[in-house]
Amino acid sequence: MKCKENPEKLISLIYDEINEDEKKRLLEHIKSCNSCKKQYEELMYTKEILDTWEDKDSEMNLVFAQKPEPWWKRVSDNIKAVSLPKRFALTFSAAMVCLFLLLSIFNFRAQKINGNWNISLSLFPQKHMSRSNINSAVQEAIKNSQQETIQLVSELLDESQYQQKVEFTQTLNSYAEQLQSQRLNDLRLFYQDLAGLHRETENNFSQTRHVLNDLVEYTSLQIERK
Amino acid sequence: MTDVELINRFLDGNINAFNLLVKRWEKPIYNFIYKNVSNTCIAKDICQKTFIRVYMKLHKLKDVNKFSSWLYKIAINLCRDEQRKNKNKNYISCDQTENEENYTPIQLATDENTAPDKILDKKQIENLLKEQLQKIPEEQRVVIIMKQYQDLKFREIADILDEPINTVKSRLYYGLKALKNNFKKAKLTKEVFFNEM
Repeated sequence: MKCKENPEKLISLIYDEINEDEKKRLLEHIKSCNSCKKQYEELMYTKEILDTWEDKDSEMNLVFAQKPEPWWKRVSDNIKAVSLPKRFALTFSAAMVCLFLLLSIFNFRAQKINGNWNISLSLFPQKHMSRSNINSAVQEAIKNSQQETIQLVSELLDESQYQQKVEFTQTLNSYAEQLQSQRLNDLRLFYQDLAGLHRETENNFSQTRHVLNDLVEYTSLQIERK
Repeated sequence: MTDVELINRFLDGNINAFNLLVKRWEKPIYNFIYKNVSNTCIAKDICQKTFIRVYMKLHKLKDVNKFSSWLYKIAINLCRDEQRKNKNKNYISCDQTENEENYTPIQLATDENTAPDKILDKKQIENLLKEQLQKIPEEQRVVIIMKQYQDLKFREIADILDEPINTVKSRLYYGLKALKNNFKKAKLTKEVFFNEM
């Protein structure tokens, strides 16, 4: 038969979160009630088993670092920390520095010419030269130009000499070729003349041979007749 | 220095006060999470997330005297988020990979006639209890861990969970009962646990 005792009270007893009177009463009850005694023992037994699982070290060692504040916030905090006159002076100085920086970036130029102010702004720097600087620059430019001219003339002369050499070589070569062809022509003609002479001599020899043959025949006939 | 003092110092911009607070709470929170999720990697991850959330939201905490309850609430919510997110996933336990050589699966008895034939060592007890705790409903498990291992009062647990004290006690009762039945089924007697100790 089930006991009407509240199980939550048993739990309070097991974990010792119960007042002394209630504790005494419950312990007395457990002694006499088998159902509650069994439950109490079983819960205690489970609790003791669970107690065997010990906590372990996390080995994480988490450390948080301060997130650095943005520079503008730090500057603003620092400005806020100083007194009002100092703050004004700081702001004014910073504004002046910014103004000068801007003017220098845009090449600000102010000049008083004949009582009139001449102000100019430019993205690109303007070069301003004195008279002596101009003279020396001009002389330098002339000197450079002269040197350049000399160099060019010498190069021109070298080039002309080279061209002459080339032309002379070409002329010599053509002359040699002409001589060679003329010599060949002469030799050809000489050869032709020699060939003609040879043929003529051959004819003369042949005629002479005929004449001698006729003479030999005649002579032999004469000898026979005698 | 109390938690409240450390919190106030942190809120005044002292990060070291917060680090001291973390150092103080890191071990209990880690163990609470670890016993709840049963996985070293996930426990470390949740623990880290918990303290990051604390760092981010501490200035919004209205009553700094309730810091510990608030801290546990954050940890519980993150554990629930993680469990919901990974409901269908199978974890590779860091414990298994890290201590693979020492890891021996526990053979629970399947019927009442067989019983574990040896006394369990510390690692096996831990694995067994992890396994058994995962078998009971989350709401009972959380209460058991908070009461058994974090040594919180019923009133504090009720405060953390926003539940009546009797509900907390009831969950603890049914949780312990379920565990007892599981131990009984596996024939895990007190001797198996305590002889080795």
